[in-house]
Amino acid sequence: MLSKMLLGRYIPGSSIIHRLDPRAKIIAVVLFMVIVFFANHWTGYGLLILFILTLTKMADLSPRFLFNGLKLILILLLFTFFMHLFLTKGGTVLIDGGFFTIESEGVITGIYITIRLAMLVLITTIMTLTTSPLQLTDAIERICRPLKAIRVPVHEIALMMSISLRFIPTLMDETEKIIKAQSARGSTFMAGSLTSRLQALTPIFIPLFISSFKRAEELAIAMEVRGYQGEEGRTHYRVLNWEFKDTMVLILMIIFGIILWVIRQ
Amino acid sequence: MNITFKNLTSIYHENTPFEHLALNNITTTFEEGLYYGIVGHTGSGKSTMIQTLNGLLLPSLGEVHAGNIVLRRKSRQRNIHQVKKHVGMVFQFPEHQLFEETVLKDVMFGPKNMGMDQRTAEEKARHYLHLLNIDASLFDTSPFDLSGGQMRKVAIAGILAMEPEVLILDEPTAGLDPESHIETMELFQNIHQDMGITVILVTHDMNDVFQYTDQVKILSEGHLVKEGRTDDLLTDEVLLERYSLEPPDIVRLVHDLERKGITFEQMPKNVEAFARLYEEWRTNHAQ
Repeated sequence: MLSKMLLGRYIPGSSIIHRLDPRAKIIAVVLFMVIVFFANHWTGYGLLILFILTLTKMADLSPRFLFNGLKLILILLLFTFFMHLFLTKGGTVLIDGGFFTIESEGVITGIYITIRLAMLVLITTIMTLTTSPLQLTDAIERICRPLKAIRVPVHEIALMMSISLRFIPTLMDETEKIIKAQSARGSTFMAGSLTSRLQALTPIFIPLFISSFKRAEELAIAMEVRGYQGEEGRTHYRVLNWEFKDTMVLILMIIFGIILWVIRQ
Repeated sequence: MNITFKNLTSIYHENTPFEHLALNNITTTFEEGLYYGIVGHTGSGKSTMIQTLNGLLLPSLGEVHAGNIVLRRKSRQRNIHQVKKHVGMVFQFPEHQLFEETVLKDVMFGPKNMGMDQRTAEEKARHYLHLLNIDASLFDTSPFDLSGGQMRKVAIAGILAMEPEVLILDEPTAGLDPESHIETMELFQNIHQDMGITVILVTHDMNDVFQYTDQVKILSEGHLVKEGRTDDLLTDEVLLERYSLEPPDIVRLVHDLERKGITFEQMPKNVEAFARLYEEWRTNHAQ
């Protein structure tokens, strides 16, 4: 069940996408998120989909694996689609069901918005699948460095992020173990009424909280005995290298954006 | 209750880049009333095997027969629940599963899930807590106020109170001091002998496997490579070497002594037995 979680998971590889500077990837993703909103008709959306497919191919990810990840937000996608289907009015009436109508404008907007959402999720999924969490936090720390001028504790925030990211798999494992231990004791959270399912969560969450607090304290002690005292005087073990190909990626992204802007209607 | 694996294959993360074949076409039987040991190197499939035994994992291919119940790739929750009732499992660090307000309530959690009423559950809970030497004055305290060793006993009582016919132990002595280690292993031995429960022990401690189990199954990279009597398999140093397993200390000692010309009539199972046999040998040779 938990093994299907794709969010925030990194698949090691050596494709061109994997080897890009994480800063370039983050900036490119942000650019893409803006570009997605340029598209306003079929050609534009077609280009976006083509772009994502090319990217998947270049990153050596199996499309099926990627779309499995999309299943997670399937409900959100469906919800958005149906909201537009029923609530957006305009164009010709396709179905008149008395108290509701489905109009052509609704169908089209529904599909557009759903594609937009899916694109946004897919591009970020591609980024997290091809970039290790540590690289990502390093990159965020670097990108946000100017904020230090206005006293934003950039290093501490980055550290908090990398610690949380680091512990996601640990917590997942822990959760899975506890779920197994409790279900071996006959706890059933896969069946029964909603209340009994909710009650069945207590035996999972209490041990999980306890072990998380213990772990947090141990980590704090471990950091203190190693003399950790914030950013002052620290050098980086992993050094980010901005190369020509990273600049190229951003230029290509901007060109892609311009194309989408030009074909707007 | 016998548990049988029929051509069982278990695959993790099927159809993803993380796909991993954990168990490969295994056919074997765990017979009622015996004490089994499952040994193998890290990653050999031991955990997968025991989790498949009580329905926590379902086979990807093949079948598990637990008594009359058959588990397959897509078995129903009800059947799985039935198997859990008969097959109890003590996980590594079982104290991590405690969650209730009081010790007694925590032990009653399992029995109640298995359909026992409040009174029977409480009776069972008290009985097994006594059996594990937990003082009655602790029954109404929070399990989180107990010491580590007591917490583990309470957690074990929680499994025993479900009265399983088969008991699976996954590294039950990990992190215990030597004294508690012996105490815990003796306890399982007594439960096995007095109540006739089938016990399946998974551990890296070959000394425990040698001393307590009747039968051993050796796993290597997902294959069941050897099964048979503990006395035969664990005294065969060549065989153990092949699967990078350490022979039990006593076996090694006795074999070393044999090379020096000191031979015993039988293989001692623990230190006391060894001392006795050595004493006999000395008296025989003193004359």
